[in-house]
Amino acid sequence: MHYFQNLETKNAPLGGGTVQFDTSVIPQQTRVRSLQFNFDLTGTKANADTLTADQFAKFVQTVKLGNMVSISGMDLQKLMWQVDGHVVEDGNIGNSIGAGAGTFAMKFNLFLPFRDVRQPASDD
Amino acid sequence: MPSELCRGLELSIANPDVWGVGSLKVTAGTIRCLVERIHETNVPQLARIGTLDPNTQNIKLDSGCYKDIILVKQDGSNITAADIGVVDVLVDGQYLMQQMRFDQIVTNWNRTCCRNSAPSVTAGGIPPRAELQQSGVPFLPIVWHDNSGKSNISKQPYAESSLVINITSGSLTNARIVFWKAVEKDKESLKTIAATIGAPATATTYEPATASKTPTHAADPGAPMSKKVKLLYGFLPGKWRERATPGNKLAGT
Repeated sequence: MHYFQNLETKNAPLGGGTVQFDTSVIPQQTRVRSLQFNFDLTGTKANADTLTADQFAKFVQTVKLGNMVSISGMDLQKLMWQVDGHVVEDGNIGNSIGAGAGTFAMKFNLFLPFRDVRQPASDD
Repeated sequence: MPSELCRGLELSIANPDVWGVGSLKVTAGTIRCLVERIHETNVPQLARIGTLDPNTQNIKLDSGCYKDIILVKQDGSNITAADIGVVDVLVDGQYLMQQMRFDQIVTNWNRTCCRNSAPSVTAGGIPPRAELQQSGVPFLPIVWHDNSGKSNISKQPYAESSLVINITSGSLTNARIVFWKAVEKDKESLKTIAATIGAPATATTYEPATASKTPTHAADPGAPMSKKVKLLYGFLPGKWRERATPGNKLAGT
């Protein structure tokens, strides 16, 4: 049986910078199967500006977890494409930013695995 | 990952106009973090996820059990057949890939790893999000698990000394290696981790599966366990064993 715990919600730093999440609230003597990040961003642009959804993860320069994980958002997204065998879209990631409006909404997810769903009963 | 070892989680966020597209920039937003956990107190498999920029076509990775390796370009652009030509991959001198062409790698990944071949997204000029395309790929798979349902870490390549990737007849100069590898734990580090998380270092209920001694050969029953076997099964809640035990297999192996 797995448990999902909404850990924290932080504002995205608008000038770039570091966002830290407090993992000490995760109960001790449990296993962390995965960490997930949901990005819900808005912004402004010129009418002619466009951006394809597969570029959204460039917003994350590095995902770090101690000395176990250090990877950029784009690289992590590609790795997860291979691990999952497809891209988890949620109906959001495919929504590219098109021409027209002067504002945009940008939603995407990053997924950091510790349990490998491809390995039955091996390393939960 | 034991929750006690899950410390120091942080994201570095780029400038709000990182894409360099006109005046497009992020002006507000949130990042939500979710943890998926399970009530277990054993010492699970530990892994390391990271990248390496070798800046050469003759790439050498250090020892370890590689669950996944993909090749990307440092600038994030697609890789094409002109970049790659052919690829050789050797694990401790044994071929994992021999003179594999770009198109053959793409086809075999689509055949054995891709789980949804349908082009699920077409709006906005986005390419299909499942299959890799022969015209260009965002990543070139080097090591992957197949999707047969019988995938297991014991079937992944374990390099006692090195894993070498040689690219020939290609123009790629800015390769980046993205890897997911298992962390090696010897008897002492296992005890340390077990003490940190409050789990017993050994138990008496688990029989380890047989596993490969080398990247390509199964273990001889009764033979001394290789580093790979210790790597794979030292973390499990079973009795520490120095020799392979025949006839005991994990589900799916």
